[in-house]
Amino acid sequence: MKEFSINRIFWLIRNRALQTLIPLGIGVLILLGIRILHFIFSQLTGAPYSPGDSSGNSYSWLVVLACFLTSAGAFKEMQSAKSTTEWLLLPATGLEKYLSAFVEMMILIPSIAVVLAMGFSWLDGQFWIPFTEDSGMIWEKWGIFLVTNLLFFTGSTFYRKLVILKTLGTILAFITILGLVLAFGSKILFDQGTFASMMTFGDSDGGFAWKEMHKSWDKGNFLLGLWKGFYFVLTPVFALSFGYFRVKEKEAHHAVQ
Amino acid sequence: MIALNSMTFGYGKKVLFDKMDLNLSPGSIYGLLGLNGAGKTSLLKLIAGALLPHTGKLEVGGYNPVQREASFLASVAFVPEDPWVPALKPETFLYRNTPFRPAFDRGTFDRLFQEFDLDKDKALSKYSYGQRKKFCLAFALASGAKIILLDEPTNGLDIPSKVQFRKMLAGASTEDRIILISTHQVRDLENLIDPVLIMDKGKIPFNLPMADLGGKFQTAGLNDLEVLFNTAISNPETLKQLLGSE
Repeated sequence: MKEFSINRIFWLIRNRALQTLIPLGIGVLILLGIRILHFIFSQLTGAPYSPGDSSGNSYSWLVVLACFLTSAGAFKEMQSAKSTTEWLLLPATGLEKYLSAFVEMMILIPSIAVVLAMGFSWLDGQFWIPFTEDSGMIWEKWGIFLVTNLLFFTGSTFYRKLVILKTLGTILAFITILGLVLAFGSKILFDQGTFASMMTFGDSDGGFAWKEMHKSWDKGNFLLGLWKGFYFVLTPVFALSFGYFRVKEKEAHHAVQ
Repeated sequence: MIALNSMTFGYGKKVLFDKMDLNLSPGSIYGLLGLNGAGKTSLLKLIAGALLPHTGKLEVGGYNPVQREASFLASVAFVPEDPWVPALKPETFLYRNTPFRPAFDRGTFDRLFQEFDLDKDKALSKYSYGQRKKFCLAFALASGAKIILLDEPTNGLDIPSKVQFRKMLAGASTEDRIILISTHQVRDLENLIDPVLIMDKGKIPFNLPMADLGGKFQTAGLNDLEVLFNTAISNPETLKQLLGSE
């Protein structure tokens, strides 16, 4: 028996996908129901029927929320006191279990969510297409979304309950500490304590963003590059390693019997 | 072969097993007896790879359980006292799980499933405690695993099921297989388990072949497994003296 098997990864992904189908289907039905009710309401009251918005942000948020919610539950069976032992003892390596969850949460679910969002936008007659400026989901934002999705995915290897809230709390605490360290660092290095003020969270476009200040300033660009390197390279590397080792070293719940 | 060499394990600061040694060979159905909290379940989980020892060496069927290699996990079947099952019908459960166990024998499973009189149209999560247990026992015995670990297998089984279970277990015991059963219900398995391991204070001081029960233990009035266990726990010196008199 090979210790790394593509077949086992395929079976794991298949099992995970089959399990996700039901909640996904329920989510789609709820959204369709809301759309139908909205349509009926508008017909009855004479109010104009205008679901979504012209900027396409509502469809982007649909993708983002669906992915964050599912990623936060990526290791639900591993974390549940009832099912941990059975999950651990399923004959597949920790790496295979981790990779299958990764493929589902970082590739499969986002792809399905995008297709569904496009479907909904077409139902609404708005024809939202991702990866375009009009869609509200341009490439850099996709990058930010995927890294943040990876953080929720990693959070699910660590937290057992309230994964979204706890992961968000951890991210915010980390950003605050990092901002303070960099602000003090830049003050000491460049005599400019402006780093923290350059960074905003939750701007008008609904994501991380940089204020357009200090763009022409080399040191500002250096710090901007540093931040991007940190977010797009170091954070995923850390999250992937941390998550993998959490899965690999997971133990059954403690109870002396 | 299961070999524990100076294995230490505990929860937090509480040490449960301090330098535990144990050797089990294939071809036997071992009975693991001990008081509540002695660590029977923890020992089974350590052997299965669900818990990780702190120090010492642990070898199960030539593997190190700490590594949790896929082939190792496929060679072990562990049925917990209160097994968890997903909300799937039996057939769907098999479809999703048997590919991971290449030695799984569908014929054996179907026979055991029928003998236990389980419902194929009902979701496993809707099964009663006893039915869940019977399903998991059938799955474990048909898994083709060389190491079968059963935690309190007769708890929750009705009387006819206990009889069936004993029959199945006797049939599942082969020369290349180790079956290790942790139990409080010594009477349910009295005629099946051999040898008996008695666990006390983080050690296994007694590893007794049942043949001894008919010999020198009988002359000392220890002709019953329950009496033997009580003596091992409350008056281990008597037992040690008896063993030493060989």
